[in-house]
Amino acid sequence: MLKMLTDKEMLSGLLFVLIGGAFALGAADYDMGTTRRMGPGYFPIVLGCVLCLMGLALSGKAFLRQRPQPISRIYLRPLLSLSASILAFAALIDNVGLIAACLACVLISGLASAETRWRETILIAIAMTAFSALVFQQFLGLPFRLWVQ
Amino acid sequence: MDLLANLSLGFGEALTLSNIMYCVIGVVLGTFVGVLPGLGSVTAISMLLPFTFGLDPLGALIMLSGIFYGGLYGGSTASILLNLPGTPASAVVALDGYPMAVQGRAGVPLFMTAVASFFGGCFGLMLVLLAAPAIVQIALEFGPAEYFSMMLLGLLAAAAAATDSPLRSYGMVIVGLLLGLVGTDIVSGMMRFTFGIPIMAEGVSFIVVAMALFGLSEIIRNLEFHAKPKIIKPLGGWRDMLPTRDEFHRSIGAALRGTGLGSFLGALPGAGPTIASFMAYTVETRVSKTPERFGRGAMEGVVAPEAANNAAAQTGYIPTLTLGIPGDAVGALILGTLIMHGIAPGPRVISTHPELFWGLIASMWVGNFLLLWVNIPFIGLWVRILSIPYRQLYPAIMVFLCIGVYSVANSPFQLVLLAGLGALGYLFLKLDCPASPLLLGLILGPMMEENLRRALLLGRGNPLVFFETPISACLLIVCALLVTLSVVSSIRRKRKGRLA
Repeated sequence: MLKMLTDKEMLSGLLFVLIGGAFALGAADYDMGTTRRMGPGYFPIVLGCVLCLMGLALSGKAFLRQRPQPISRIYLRPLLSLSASILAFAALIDNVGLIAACLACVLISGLASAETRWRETILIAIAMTAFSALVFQQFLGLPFRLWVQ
Repeated sequence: MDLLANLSLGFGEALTLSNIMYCVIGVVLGTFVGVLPGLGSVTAISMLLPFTFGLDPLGALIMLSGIFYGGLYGGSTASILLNLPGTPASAVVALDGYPMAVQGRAGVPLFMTAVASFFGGCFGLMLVLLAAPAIVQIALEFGPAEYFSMMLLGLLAAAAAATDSPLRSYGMVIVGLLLGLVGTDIVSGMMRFTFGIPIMAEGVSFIVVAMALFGLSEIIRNLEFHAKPKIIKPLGGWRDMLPTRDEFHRSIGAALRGTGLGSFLGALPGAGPTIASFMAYTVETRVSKTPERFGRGAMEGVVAPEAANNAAAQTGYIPTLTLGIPGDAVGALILGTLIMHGIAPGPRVISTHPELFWGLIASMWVGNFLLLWVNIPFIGLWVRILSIPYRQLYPAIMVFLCIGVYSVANSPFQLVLLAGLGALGYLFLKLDCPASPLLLGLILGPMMEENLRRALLLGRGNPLVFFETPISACLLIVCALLVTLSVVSSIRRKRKGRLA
């Protein structure tokens, strides 16, 4: 029974119910309107409910099948390190500047793989920072600060 | 003649110095990402999109399209030398291309795929040229009801083609449609699902979603395994690239069949280059008198899919540019680019922006020609790129992702969204929920809602308005058939699986 909860189809269904339900509930405050003059709530509520039903159908199908196909392992290391590297970029780009953001992004993303050779990654960090500063900031003229004044 | 005037207009646009440069950058970059396994055209196009904000719309389209079809040329290189698909559309080329490489004849399939791609691409373009203006004539009569039904068909077809689990792909379409609703409601001006965050009023950018689902979550998955692929280096010079006389004769028929099939499939909504290449391979094994040669280095198995995927890539522009209905994820991105540059997609694009349409078509001819010269003589360079280890590649991709997403709105908030959607995308990957229906739903969502509301307003709230005009009624009937068919076939497949 517990094993059914790790089934791919079951989980997809539950995820759909969650997403559909969230949108339908969120739209409950919006004006539904009529079929002739739809309000802003009409389309999201209908779609959200349809998605919920589809999710229930998927989970129900999985439950009746009773032969779980468990989800394959979720690798947290790349997931977390890459998320952290993006968030580091987000935190640094406006407050400190492009150079710090790029260096942090590459170095933290290096944590994602067991194969990372740090000397190599440091070189990549320096190269990518120089490249971004030259190409994106100088050549393409994107509005970045290189470093806080 | 009209066509000639249009063509000369197109070539006039495509052959300006800056547009040739964009084309060169596009196809070289496309070949580059095509060659690298684990980095596809969709990822590359979405990564590059923010940097094309500053270009004029034609330049942006030329470059992004170049990445797309360039990726198809490059993808076969990885399939042949690595037995790993550089792009999904080239996966099937590995079946016969790799055995040839193992036999020490890698140069032959490399050469023949480039030629077949060129042939398929040029023929596909020819069809776009002839068919697009005719389709536009019909589409100009479309009202909101026809548009809604047409988009519904496009979404359903794309979803049906994406996996063998129809419920999951239809679900993903709806997730995309719902995400597309975030932001300001066009009719009432009301904010929906913005959580009071001002920047959300603009909606969830399709660029961020594309980068999260096709960039970030793919990188996370690629980092799961540490397989060290073995590359076969092609030896020898020009002479070793030429096929035997027998192989050459077989290739002609295969290229023709692949091109025909690919052109047809590409023009349908939902069936892109990947499906075209797989179908072309299947057809070749069926029509061959000696099917036992397949899988051991049959020339037809290399030529037909490669011609098919390039033909499909080009004819895929027909629905995207004439109807504003993208056939696959790349079409959706091209459409998104148009919208971003303030051009409303639909049948009016060709008449209001003729220089854009004809210029793009002409540039794709130029690009296909360039690719022939980028691919074959520089094969040694591409082989060297193939051997770049992933651990050196992905940190660089991360920088591009971050800078690209940040420049969508110059806001760090988009990056937070990227991280969140990337994690969600990874979960979707793990659950076998396909990402491209979501992207299509996201881009078509706002347009669909608008047309639905308009059609119902005109029809006084009666849903039968969608059956009042013959075109809309036919489209809806096709939709119903499609859904029934995909559900029935998935049930049947499951039964068969249980018996086996």
